[in-house]
Amino acid sequence: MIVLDSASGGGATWAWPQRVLIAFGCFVLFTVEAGAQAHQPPKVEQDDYLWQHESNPYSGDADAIASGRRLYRSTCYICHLDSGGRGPDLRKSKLKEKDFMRVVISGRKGTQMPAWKGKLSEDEMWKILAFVQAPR
Amino acid sequence: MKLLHVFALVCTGLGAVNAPSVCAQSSQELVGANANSKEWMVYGRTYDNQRFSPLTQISPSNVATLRPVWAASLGSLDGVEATPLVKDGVMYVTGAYSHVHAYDARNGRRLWSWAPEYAPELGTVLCCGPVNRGVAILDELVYVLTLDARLVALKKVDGKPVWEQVIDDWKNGVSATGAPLIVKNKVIVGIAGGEYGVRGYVRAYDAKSGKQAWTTYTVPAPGEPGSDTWPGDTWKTGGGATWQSGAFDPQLNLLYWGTGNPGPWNSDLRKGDNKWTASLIALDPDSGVIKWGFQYTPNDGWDYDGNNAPVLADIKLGGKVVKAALQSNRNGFFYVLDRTDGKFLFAVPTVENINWTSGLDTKTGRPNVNEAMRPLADGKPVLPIIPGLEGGTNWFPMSYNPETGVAFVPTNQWAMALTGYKPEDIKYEPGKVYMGMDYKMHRTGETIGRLKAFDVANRKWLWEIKSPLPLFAGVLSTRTGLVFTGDQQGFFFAAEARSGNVLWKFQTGSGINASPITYELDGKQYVAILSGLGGDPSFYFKGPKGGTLWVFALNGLAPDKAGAGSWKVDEIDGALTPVPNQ
Repeated sequence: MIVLDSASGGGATWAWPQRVLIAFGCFVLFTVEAGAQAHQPPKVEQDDYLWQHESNPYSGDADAIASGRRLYRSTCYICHLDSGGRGPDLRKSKLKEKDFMRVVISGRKGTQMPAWKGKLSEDEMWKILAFVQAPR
Repeated sequence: MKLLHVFALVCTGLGAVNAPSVCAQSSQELVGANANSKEWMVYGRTYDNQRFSPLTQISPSNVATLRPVWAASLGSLDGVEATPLVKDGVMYVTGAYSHVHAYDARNGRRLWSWAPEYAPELGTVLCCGPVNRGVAILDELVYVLTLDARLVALKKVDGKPVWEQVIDDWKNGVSATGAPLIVKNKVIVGIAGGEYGVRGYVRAYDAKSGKQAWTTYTVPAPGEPGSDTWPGDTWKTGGGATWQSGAFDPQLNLLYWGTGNPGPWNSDLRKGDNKWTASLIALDPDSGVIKWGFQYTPNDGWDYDGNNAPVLADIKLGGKVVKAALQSNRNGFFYVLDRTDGKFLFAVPTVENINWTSGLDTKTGRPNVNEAMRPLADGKPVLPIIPGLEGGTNWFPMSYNPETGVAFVPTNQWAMALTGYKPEDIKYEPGKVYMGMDYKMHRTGETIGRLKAFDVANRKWLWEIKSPLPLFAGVLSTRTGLVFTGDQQGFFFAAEARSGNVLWKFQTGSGINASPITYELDGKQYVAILSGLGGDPSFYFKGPKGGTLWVFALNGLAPDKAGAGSWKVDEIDGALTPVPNQ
């Protein structure tokens, strides 16, 4: 069951995470209006973060998923458990890949989701995402 | 001594006339807290943690007229677990994130607030939410532990920090959520981080200067007593965190502190008793030297922390008065120990169908472990284990009425599944989770929570109040025979101590995860409780959130006091300028 959208389609379909991210003041975000965005690339996409990958290089990679599972266990699990606890069930997340990553990197203000930058490398975060995306 | 009493009286008198005054107070006063029935100066009201009040105005016959007098928003949607303190007419409370607030205890006028700042990464080392269990007070200062493992001393009068000490580097998984404990001229603190492979310790600071006095590790280094209970280097990440407050017996000059689970959770990776994890230790408060230890759960493999501070009580057993320490444990047993030497006296199960052990040795209290219920580092699930890791009784403090010998114990009847990872999947990295297991709590019936009354000397359960959701609040009992606590459906309630009949309840707006207190001012008895879902219960169910402090008195607020609690509003610069001339 892959519940995360692939990033290849471009624009955002869900405004909430963007608002959250705007609230962070960390990123300049997609400005595309909902509804018209499906086939348009985002007009602006600038992060003060230099991405190594634009989409998950580890999707479906068994070794990366296994290591993502281990990482998930030592970081995410304590709140998100297998299917949600204090934090939501990540497999049900509707965030697009990079938005998911942004939340992991910078946290989510007003919630208990902390910033993982400095604690996990981008590579490790992508592996966690690969595990979350993988069928279980 | 006499002089101190006079001083205290003068302070209280002044406070009654005008705004609350902030008076000096000494550690001698804290020792005599039991005689001071009107204030609540120590986490457990008295050093014995009985949470029993001799105040008599509110009783079973009039509790039905208990009404809110004032309330205060704690300004967050996270869990609140604190016990308020009241001294010289001022109430000191912590909300989530160790925010400290001081109020006029009569009317809720906010005197000051203080909020620590944190790194956005801090949450990566908080297993169980940004909770805090309260402050300690001595002389002119208020002491609070921050989530990033600092001890901060604030001025009572205005909340301004006087000094702070970094207890540890939070980036290595060390945090702090407990209430500090003042003993003589020292502030005693514990740390959290049992899920992050920390090595637990209790530490004392000089209360005035903040200078470190002593540190005692709960897990011994090689060569220290008990080090033979740890194979190889396992002691280095051995856990035994000290995330709650303690108890103090001034006559015996012993400080009691509970310790948490060993790390990682997989017991087969650290074969041996793993002292002093999941234990009660008694320390010399002057030197920090461990005088004795009692281990509730040797080689714990179920996350059965033993942190809940003991209640110290003198109990008649076999015609003899015994200086006892009582503790209701996560592992499902209520322990009665001799607090002079840590000797096991007896224990009784608090929940039904305990299956991780077939029972405790009647002489030593050592559990006879049911090995089929011990999860190993083999990837195989073990279930259902009873009780689940939340207990039994988790951190929330019980109450003990020394006049009737009855303990009022919040317990939960539920189960868990544990699946230990394989050794290759368990790696210690500083600041990362070092549990080594997956866990899942399970329901075993319609209801989970049970508030139970236990006649300790006669080993008899008297009554219980069932609750659909787990109980996670502390308990207060009073001389008049009332028991106060709260549930996850937002109800703060009073039960009759004799029968367990609920005589009064009030909807506070969110789940209750904190501990009630009572105090008297200007001849009026008040009861206070913090309400706010969060912490561990928020793992299992959703409900309205929001931290609020509620204060009650008989017949509510006297008409002449209405409006007395309005606070000074800080207007935002330029936001409400007068209408400009056209």
